[in-house]
Amino acid sequence: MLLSLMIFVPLLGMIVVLLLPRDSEELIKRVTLGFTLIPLILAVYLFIDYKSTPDTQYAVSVPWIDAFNINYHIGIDGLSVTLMLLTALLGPICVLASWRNIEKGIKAYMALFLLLETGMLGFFAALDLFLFFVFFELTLLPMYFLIGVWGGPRREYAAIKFFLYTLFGSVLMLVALIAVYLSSGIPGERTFDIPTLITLAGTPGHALADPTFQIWVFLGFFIGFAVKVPIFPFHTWLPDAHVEAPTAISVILAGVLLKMGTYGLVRINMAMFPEGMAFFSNGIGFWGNSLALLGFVNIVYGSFCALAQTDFKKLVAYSSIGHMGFVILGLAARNTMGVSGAILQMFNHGVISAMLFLLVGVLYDRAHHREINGFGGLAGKMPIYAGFTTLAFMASLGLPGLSGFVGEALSLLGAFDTFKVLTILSTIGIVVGAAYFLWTLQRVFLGKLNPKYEELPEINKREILTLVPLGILTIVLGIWPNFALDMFRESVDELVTLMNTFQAGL
Amino acid sequence: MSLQHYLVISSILFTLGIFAVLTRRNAISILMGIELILNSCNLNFAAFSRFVIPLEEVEGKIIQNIDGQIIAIFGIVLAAAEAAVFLAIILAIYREFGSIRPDEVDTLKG
Amino acid sequence: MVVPLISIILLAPLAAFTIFALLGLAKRSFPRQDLLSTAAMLVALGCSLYLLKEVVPKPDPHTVDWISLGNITFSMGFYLDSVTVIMLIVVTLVSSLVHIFSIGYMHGDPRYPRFFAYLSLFSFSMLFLVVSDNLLGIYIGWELVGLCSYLLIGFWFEKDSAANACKKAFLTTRVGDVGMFIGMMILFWQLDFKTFSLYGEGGIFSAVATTDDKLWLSIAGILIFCGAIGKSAQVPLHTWLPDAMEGPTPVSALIHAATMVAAGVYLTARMFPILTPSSSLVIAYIGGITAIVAATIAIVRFDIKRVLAYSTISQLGYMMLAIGAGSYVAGLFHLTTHAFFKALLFLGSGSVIHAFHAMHAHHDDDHADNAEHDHSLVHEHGSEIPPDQDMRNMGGLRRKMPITFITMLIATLSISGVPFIFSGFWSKDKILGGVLGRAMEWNSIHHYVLFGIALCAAGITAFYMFRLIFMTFFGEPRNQEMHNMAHESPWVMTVPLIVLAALSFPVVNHLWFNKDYVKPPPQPHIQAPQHAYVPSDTKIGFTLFGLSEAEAADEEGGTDTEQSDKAHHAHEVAHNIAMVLSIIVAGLGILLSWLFYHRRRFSAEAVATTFRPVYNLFWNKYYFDEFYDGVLVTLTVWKARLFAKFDLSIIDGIVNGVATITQKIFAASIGFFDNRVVDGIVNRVAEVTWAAGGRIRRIQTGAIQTYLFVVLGGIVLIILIFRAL
Repeated sequence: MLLSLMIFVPLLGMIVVLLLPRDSEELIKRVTLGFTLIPLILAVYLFIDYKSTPDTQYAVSVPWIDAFNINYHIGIDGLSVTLMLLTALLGPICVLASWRNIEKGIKAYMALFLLLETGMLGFFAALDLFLFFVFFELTLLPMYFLIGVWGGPRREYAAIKFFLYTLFGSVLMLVALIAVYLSSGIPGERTFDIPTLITLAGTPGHALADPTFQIWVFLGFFIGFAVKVPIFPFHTWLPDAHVEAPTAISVILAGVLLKMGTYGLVRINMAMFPEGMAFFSNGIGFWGNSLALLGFVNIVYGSFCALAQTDFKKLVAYSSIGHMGFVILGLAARNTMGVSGAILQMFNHGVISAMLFLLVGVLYDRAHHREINGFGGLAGKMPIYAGFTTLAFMASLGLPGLSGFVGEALSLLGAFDTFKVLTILSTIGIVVGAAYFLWTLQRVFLGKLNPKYEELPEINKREILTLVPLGILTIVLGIWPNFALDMFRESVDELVTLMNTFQAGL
Repeated sequence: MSLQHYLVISSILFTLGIFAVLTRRNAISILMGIELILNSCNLNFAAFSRFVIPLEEVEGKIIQNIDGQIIAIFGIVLAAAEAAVFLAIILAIYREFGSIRPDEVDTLKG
Repeated sequence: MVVPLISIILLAPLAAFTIFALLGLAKRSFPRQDLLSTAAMLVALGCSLYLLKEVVPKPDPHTVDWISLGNITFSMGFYLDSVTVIMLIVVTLVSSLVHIFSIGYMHGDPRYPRFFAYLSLFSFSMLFLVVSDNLLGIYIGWELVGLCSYLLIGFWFEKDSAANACKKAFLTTRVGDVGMFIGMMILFWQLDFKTFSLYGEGGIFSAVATTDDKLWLSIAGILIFCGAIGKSAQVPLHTWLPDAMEGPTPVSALIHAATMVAAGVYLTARMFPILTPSSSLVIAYIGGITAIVAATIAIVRFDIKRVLAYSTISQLGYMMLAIGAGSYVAGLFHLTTHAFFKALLFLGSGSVIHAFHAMHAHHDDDHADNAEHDHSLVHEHGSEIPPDQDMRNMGGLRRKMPITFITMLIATLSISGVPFIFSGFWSKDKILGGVLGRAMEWNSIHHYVLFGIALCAAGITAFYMFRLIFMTFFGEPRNQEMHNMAHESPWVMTVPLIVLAALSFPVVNHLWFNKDYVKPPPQPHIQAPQHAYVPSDTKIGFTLFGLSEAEAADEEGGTDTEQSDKAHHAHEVAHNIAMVLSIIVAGLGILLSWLFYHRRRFSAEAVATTFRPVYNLFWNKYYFDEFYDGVLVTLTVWKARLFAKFDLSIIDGIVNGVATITQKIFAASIGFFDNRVVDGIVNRVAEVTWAAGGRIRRIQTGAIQTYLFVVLGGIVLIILIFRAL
């Protein structure tokens, strides 16, 4: 009940916002903020109340579409509660970040934003494959409008690219989903229930457990999620979408939407298709290395592309691609360390990249451009802003003591067990990551102050308010990672145990 | 007096009403015509109720059915309401067109 | 008592930084951040000294679980042995003195509070590194000191040279750090240690004794040493340290001379038990090469801080050489003596620079006008020396700045290895003796070569250090305008100099010579090679250094204990030889320097002209920077641009191409069908309906009475029809 409340409170908020008069913008913003704060409070409560066991908690299952045995089945485990906390945290932050810089149609914007939040929260809680898919698609529509209406000059191109790309992945996913449904039993006993399907897929002799079937279905889901992560070569929508999207939407995009891809990989691909997973990541032959290879390519490719960017936001977008590579690499490891590292990296990247995009937004709101080479010497002019940026950059480039390091290090360490060469090559990304962040730091903040920006105002209280909770999380998780690891330790252990019983016996 | 008398009066009233509705150039007059038609109907209701439906005996008492009369009273109330609405419409039409002649108010013309 | 003390040592500087950061968030600053930070450091110093008295020697890890995953736990904790405590004292002492010095040196800087906050953060990180009992903790402290070094080198970030230098420092060291991380991963998985803890049951050091995978152990050792190469500025990753001199001079003294750069040596010493003969040899060679390369570069520098920077690199190479050659104690001993006298030299040079402070401000304005905005990752190393650091502008300062002169002279005598009354002599001699001892004990040609290199480097060190002293303090003023402005520094700056000068005398040697106090950890994988002690070889080795045949003959054969006795004896002999030789080369270096730069008996320019190619090689720093900038950095940036272009044109091109094809071909043909056929039918239907409507609408007259008439007619008609039926 609590979980459903959390998921649908933003939807209720959307209705309330739609009923408010168009002109009372201040009221609309406050109401939206209120409705995003409720899920945050609930998420914090869940986070505290959650007991680290492998079982799903707060589960609710109500029949929805009886004809196809579809249930409204939701519940949380350690992984989903962590990501739901992230989502709920970013909600109010994004509303605050949109406070001043959304100039038109604030009502529609806020309404769509609330719808988006419902979609994201629901996605992380869904335990029915069909419901999962519905929530997955539900995030697509508001995102399309949020980029397409409130974006930058090339917003329509970016929005359509984002929409079609994701839809392309969704179609393959839908096909795989139907295949799973049809193979799950004789007519009348078919099911979309994820826990049931996981059990069936682990039953020897069942149609779902057939290795060849698993590999193909794995691929279907994988491509759907790969577009979302994004994994090379399905990543080109990301820089465009980020560059055009308004600040808050970039934050959501990097902070949560990308995690939906990796979350799907863990929840569906790894848990439901362990044979398929083993085939692509058991370290034997080309296919056995392919998943780690994609992680490596993401890391190195994303980092090098970021190094060449001169648009601040595009640079951060490419750095996201690089950092998601560590998640893929960690997942490919299929051991406790790698998977825990990957999940931690998901959460950390959500926090850090949110900070980065907020910071880019702060600068853009003041200077109205994002050309890195156009700045210089801002550290003297905006010391607090420079401090926050340094913190976010350092966290992102994996400085120990900040959260980015723990996730990256655990992912690499876990992956090294199986993929020695690829992991060693991936460390190039660490150096290049440091290079582009430091170079950016130098070009924007160090050196002589560009006389054009003599009058640039320092970061204001509202902006500091959006950054402080993220900054605190970055430091706390860097110093005490067990704080987050405790949440999903049991879930990961169970997942790893499950996967280790399969070794792709083709 | 028999049923025929009532029916004849009623027919005369009805015909006069139809005539007024079809020929008058003033909306108020048309309204009056409609009132005539309505009242002729009411008269018929009352008359049929009185003469056509037989008396009944309930628990040793002779009882006259008065359904028709009741409907007639409803009809009168309706007529009053209708007149009020009609007059309001007339007023609105007058404001809009500056006239209450129905042939001048032909914006519904196809 | 240990845990609370260590906690205070760590938390005091951290608290000083945290107060600064939190107040900074509210756009305020603590009114006397300088005093706060200094007080925190003095508290830490007090606690460290107390530890020296109380705890040691009682190695005792205190750990807490940091990350627990399944059956693997990463713990964080302290490990205190005699070396740790000595390091703690060195760090807190030098840091305290640098804090005090900075109160004078940084006075009037617009970011004065921030400087002290950074110093506090650095001290915390460095102390964390020192006390950590596991590789992960060391790595964390390791990277944090790198961050502080970055922030402090770039403290005057308005200067493009400083902005470039801090970036270069961070990136160069990070290359090494990645190597270290890979080494850690190899220890973890390849060697199957499954832990990063170093000590205790199940720690790396107990596991290493039983492993026999020497190949991977060597590789891991070398990779972990890569971290030290980066941090301690060893060849080939040394180029960042001279550039790091762009930072304020107290920073150079603290971070880039005494503590952070020595952390590499400390790490290598900590990893002593995992070293194998081959990884030891790599370390020794890198150390030796670094020592000689940096020393030769230092000869031709004119920037007073760069001379000291190259000298630091050279001395760090010395320490590495010692540890690589198995002289654990000697390396760490030199680390501590070097920390004091090199910090003194830097602070002294800071005092000289401070004397020209008015000029400095003036110069900054000039620089502002001329400097162009250099935003490229590839930057010029235009070794344009700031006039207040250029030794060619100095001279004759000994009368103007007597305290600075005397203290710096003491430090120079110490680093040059002037015998017996200076600490540097003892530690350097211990290294030379250690290397020669290893050479004689193992009869290893490698170690003889390394000894030769070290000896050369010692001579060169004496030469260039006295060159610095002569050029700065002796002779006639070369720049009268600047000379007139020079003045002795205030007491907050001279007191630290005096304290450090006192420490340049052998006051703490007894700690290092006490074999019960500092014990080298065992090296399970290093035994003397089989061919050691073979009589004929021994004879050759010993006769080479002038021992009598009879003495050499005594060394032959014998049981294990006798052998170890003999090894001991060999080391004693080696020390005596090394001592004599090092005194000779030091004297030679000083003499030459005196002849060249004081008596002007020979002309340095003439020598430079005669040996033009060699001079050019030294002057251009062996072209390392040119190679890195011209090849590596350019290649990386080029590759990045290539990737970005590939992404934009190929990958995105394919995506857009697919979109275009879908749009143009599929969509167009389907659109044609849709337009003409499907939509055609729809449109025809619509047109017919439309036309029909046009006709029928005439019936609607809009006259209400017409309608009524029709209604009436209709009713009549219906009645008639019904009647007819």
